[in-house]
Amino acid sequence: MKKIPHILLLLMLIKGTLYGQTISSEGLLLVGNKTGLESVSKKQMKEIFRGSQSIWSTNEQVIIVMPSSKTDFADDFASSVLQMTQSAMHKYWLGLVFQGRSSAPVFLNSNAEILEYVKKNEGAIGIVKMSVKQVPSEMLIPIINR
Amino acid sequence: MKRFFASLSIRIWLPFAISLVLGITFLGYYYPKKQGEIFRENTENNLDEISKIIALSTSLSLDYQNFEALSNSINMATNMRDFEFVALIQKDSVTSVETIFASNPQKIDSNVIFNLDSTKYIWRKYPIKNELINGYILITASRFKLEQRVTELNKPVYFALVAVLFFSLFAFFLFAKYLSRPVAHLTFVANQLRSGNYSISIENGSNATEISDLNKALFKLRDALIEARERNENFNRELEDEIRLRTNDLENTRLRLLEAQEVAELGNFEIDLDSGNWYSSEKASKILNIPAEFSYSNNSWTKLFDQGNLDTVQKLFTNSLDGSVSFQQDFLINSNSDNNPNLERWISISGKAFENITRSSSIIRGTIQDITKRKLIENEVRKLSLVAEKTSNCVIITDVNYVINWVNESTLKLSGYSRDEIIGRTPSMFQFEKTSVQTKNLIRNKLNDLEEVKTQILNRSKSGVEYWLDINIVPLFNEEEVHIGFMAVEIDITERVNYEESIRKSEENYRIILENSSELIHTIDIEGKLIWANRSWKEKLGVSEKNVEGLNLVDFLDKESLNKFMSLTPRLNNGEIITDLECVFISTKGSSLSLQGRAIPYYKDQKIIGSQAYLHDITLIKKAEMDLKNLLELTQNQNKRLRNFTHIVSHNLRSHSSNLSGLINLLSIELPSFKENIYYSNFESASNNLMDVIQNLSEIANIQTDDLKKYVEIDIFYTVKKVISSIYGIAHSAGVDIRFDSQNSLTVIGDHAYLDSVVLNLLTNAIKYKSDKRESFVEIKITQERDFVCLKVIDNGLGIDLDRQGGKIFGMYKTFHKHPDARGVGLFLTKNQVEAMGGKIEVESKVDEGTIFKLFLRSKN
Repeated sequence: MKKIPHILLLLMLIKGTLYGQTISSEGLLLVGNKTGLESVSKKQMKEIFRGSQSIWSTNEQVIIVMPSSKTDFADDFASSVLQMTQSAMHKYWLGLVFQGRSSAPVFLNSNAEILEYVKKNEGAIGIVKMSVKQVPSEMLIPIINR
Repeated sequence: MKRFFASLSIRIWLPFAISLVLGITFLGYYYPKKQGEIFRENTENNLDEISKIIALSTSLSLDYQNFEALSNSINMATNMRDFEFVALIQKDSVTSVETIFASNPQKIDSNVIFNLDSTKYIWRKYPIKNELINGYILITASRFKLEQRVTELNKPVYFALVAVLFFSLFAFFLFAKYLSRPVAHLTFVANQLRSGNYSISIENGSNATEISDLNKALFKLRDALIEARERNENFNRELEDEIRLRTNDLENTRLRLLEAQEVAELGNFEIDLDSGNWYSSEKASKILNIPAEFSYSNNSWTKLFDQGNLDTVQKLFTNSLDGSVSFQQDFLINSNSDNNPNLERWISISGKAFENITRSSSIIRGTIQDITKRKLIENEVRKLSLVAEKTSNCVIITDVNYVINWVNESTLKLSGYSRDEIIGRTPSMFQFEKTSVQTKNLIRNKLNDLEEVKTQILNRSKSGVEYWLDINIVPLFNEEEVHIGFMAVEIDITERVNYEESIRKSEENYRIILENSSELIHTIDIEGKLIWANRSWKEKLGVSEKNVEGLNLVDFLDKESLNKFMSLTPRLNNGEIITDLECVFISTKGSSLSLQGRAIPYYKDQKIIGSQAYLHDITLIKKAEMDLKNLLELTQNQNKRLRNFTHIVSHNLRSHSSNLSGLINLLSIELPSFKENIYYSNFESASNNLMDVIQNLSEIANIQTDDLKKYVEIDIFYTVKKVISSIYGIAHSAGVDIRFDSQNSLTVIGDHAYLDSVVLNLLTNAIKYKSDKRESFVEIKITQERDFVCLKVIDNGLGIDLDRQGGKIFGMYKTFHKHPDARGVGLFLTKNQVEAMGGKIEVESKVDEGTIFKLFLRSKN
């Protein structure tokens, strides 16, 4: 029985190395509503925000919600999630929408707007820069640090 | 169609119809075109607007991150009905090179975008320039889709125009009909009047002046027509009467023509060579045996001929068409008769080709005539002419004045005259001084009475050769029984006449021969009565009558011959020939005549009417036979007695001679001195000679009496060989060479003892009478000569003078050389033995050269 705390501590340490609530350096959180996602990898997240998926496993239409250039983490989002600049991201999405390959993404100006939009729209998925505690746990999608 | 367009209603309706069609066609062309222009203009305007919207929304989406507007504007473009594609073209700010940034749909070929085809697309470009994009928006619409839309839009218009067109046409057609109705009525009235319906009512269908005038004119015309019809009816009645009369005449003529055709077996035909249709009259069909269901089209007449005749017919038609000349040809066709399919039938086809002016076609018209009977007659005449020309009999035809107008080859050949030499002269040219005047008169009289003459006549040829003819002259008449001449058929019977003459002479000769024959010849009838007898018969039997006919033969036969005659008569009457006839006739003077000969049946007309006998007088022979018989009996008795005497003599003499020899021997034993007596040796020699003589006489007597001796088959070679071996020592010591080839074999009939004796005798003679002047030899040769085997004994000894001794050489006790052993008995004995065996012996000899004895012995074969 004396060993249980130690085991729990070890498990927590292991979990901390494998799972995280945020994108490690920028503190960005992935939030979603009825996406069916329990967790996503960075790569998977990148593909989601590049518009490669149009429908969730819950049969909900994918609604991409991204921070506009007016937010302070827009550049962080573009560089950490999509590995491109914000303008390149805009040009990328311009091509997608022009070609009709994806629904138009929603650009919002604050974390609260993003959180609120995701909360109200089923199938929406977005990035916020908030503390974990500020985000309802049901909306939070864990990001695997791999 | 022409009539349709000529109708009044159509003439009214047609201009309107054409105008309407042109108007509708113009509308159908112009309205859609205008619609298309409007559409294209609208589409270009739309493209302008949408390109602006897309450019604006693109800028907005980049400036304000509102891609929703861009998405909506793109959707607006793609939702356009004529939309083809929209593209965002990026232009390099430095090089001005244009590249496709994005397009919707995605996969649009850059060539299409940068080399837009104005025939396919309508497009608009709108510039766009911001921080990220420098270029323009290109949006295009499909011309094809646009035109489709225009067409779809105009479809109802087209339907409406077509409906209006047809409705208008129909409505105006009814209107035109209404307008033209009065004229149509008048036309109908005119047609009725033309067809003779003058009772039709004429309505005034219109107030128009022209039509009203036309109505009045029709009224007048109707009245005039009614009057004209009455006149025409009268005229027609007269004309019909005339036609009826002519038709009757024509029918009568046709019937007469048909009757003539029927009689002449003549039919007619017509063939249209271009259309293939043809016609044949009933008679022609009958001649050609055309079935009732036969089709007279497609040149089916060609099936009526076989290939050969068809070729000829077609050639005739072609020639006639080329030269427009008539043709006529006879054809041999099959009868097609069920009764006699092989029956030959002849038809004659004649005709000519005609050009049909209206149709420019070729027509053959002609006649077909059944000429089978004529041909048969012609053939018969030809055959008869051939027979008359080629017969071996002479045929001469004259006119009524006996002038020759035709002769055949045989006449020319027999008479030697040419045809030119004969034609125009009378048959008397063949007659000459030897021709019987009586025969000539007979012919003349008979022919003057137009009667047939059959007789024989002697004629003479040009070269002077006389010949006999058996002639048959008949008068000739034509079909009207008018006398037109004479025909003589003459058969050369010269050979027959000559033969009959020779027969007659021969018969005369035979009759003389028989009459003067030394044999007695008579002919009797079946009852035995004499028909004829020759001179010898009558002389021998003392019949003085010149004619013996009626005398009975049995009156001249003795009793025995009469019986024989009665038995022979049935055999003769049955056709048998009696060859061994012998009988005794009694002459009228009472003397007997022995006659021998043969009797044969006597025929007349191949029927036995009696018999004929050929007899010769054997009275003297019979008498000689009787004398000979008596003499033979006497000789036989004497021979018998002589044979007995010979036996007695030989036996008794032999006994006494033996006793004498025995006594001499006893005396020589008892008195040995007796041997020294000078007479002893002579006495002993005489005794021995007596014994030899007795022995020879005994043998000769035996030969003479061995008539009944049985002879056997003997191999002559073997016999000679055996004898040679027995005398070999004698020959050798005498120095005589015996030559004999003993390899063959021949069989003779004889007696072993006789043959041995004969051969031994001849060989020992040859050795005995050898010549000391030369090397002696004896050669024996045996050959087959017909029924005999010839044995030759050849030596080169002393030889015999046959001129002096020839007649005695085989005599008893005849010797020809001084040899101590010569007795003169051997050859006598040999001859007797050879002859006893049925053979003979011959001799050839020359003094001091040699002798050849030839024995001919009966051969087995």
